[in-house]
Amino acid sequence: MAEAVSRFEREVNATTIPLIAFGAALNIVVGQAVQLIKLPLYLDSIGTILIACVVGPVAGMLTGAFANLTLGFFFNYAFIFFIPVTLVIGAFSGLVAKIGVFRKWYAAIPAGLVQGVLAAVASAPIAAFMFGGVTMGGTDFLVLYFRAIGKSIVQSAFLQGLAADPVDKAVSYLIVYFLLTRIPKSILLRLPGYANA
Amino acid sequence: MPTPEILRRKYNPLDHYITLTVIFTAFAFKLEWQIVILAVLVAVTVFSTNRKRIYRGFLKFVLPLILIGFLINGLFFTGSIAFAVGPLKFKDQGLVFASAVAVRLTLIVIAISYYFSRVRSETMAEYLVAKGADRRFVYIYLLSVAMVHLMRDKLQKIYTAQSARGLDTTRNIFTRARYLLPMLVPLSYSYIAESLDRGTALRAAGFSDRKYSRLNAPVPIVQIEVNRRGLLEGRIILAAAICFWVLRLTKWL
Repeated sequence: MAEAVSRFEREVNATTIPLIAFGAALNIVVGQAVQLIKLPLYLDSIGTILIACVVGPVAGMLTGAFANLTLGFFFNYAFIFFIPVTLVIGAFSGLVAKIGVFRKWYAAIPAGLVQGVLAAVASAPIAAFMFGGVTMGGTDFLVLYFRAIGKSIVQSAFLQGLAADPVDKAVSYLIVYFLLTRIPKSILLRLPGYANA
Repeated sequence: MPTPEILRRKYNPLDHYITLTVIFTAFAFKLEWQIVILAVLVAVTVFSTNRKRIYRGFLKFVLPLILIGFLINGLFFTGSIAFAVGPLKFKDQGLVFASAVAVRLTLIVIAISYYFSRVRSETMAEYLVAKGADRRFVYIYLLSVAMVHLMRDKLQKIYTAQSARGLDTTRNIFTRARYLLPMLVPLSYSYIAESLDRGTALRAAGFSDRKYSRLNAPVPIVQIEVNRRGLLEGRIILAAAICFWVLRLTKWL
């Protein structure tokens, strides 16, 4: 417990608070960028993954939670219920960043795939019990298909997540890797987790 | 040293207690009671001056969700057939499940919409700080809301500039995916640098979670005037809902 409190104090301080707010805003704005260039992906965790990498897992979790809170209050209430999923994404990204997955592109992709599976596991019960398997995320036809072939509602929500999330998260990890390689070293060195990049 | 002007904001806790009570009932109560509460809530909000704002979110996000939920769960649940429309056979168990989800979602969404139609997010944040919430959370929330609008404008400008340099959204998916980087790199670079500068400024100004840092002087700049009657009424409403739930659970009612 003392270790968790100490980690929280270390990662959430005056220096990192604006970075966390930026990460939360980036999650929301990337959704707009994806719409502008008409990509069939969500990519709504890029800010969470970036902050988890350059600050730490607790900061990543907070970034995801605040992004979903803001999205929930101002755009679509459904996002509020998926805060536990963003916590999983933030924690996992922060932990794998420490072992250096964002230093090589070929390490980022498998980590993103595993992240996608974890996100699917975390989101399936929420999608099933809160929304009856329907989230209006563009992949609801998959739920319809899995229900039609006899899967239960939780299984259908999980399989739908499994079909969409790993690719989405692998692409997100790759984009974060490229972002980190293109940001100047002088800026990266000022970040608490620069060693992860 | 000049004394800062104190802004006074009014806050009625009845609003958040009503929202909390409705969300509690959405999870704790049975479907028939949820329908009763929903009917009361609709009756109250339909006469509200903010009714357009309250129901806009429901119609935009929740109604399509509910309709598709009825379709998927009605068609693919096992059980006896409730009714058929041509070749489509809707099962009773699926419709009951979809109804439970629909009522719960409607309750939650109308409750949250009601709250935000009555209370501005800044006032809510100030109230939370006055009640002892960690100032760092409130600051993150307010800053992220402000940044979203700024970043959207900047992204639009970057998109226009990149379009002028040949960004073509009609090309294949991999080429379009590559276009993300020329948009995200300048955006992230400038905002990370700005966030770091902002962090340095905050630290220099003595921002911390402690109660009396230099940015949280004993004399607050914003003073929240809490409606005490609303606080009492709100607590009674929430306590009544919890008591009712406990009594139903223990079969006293």
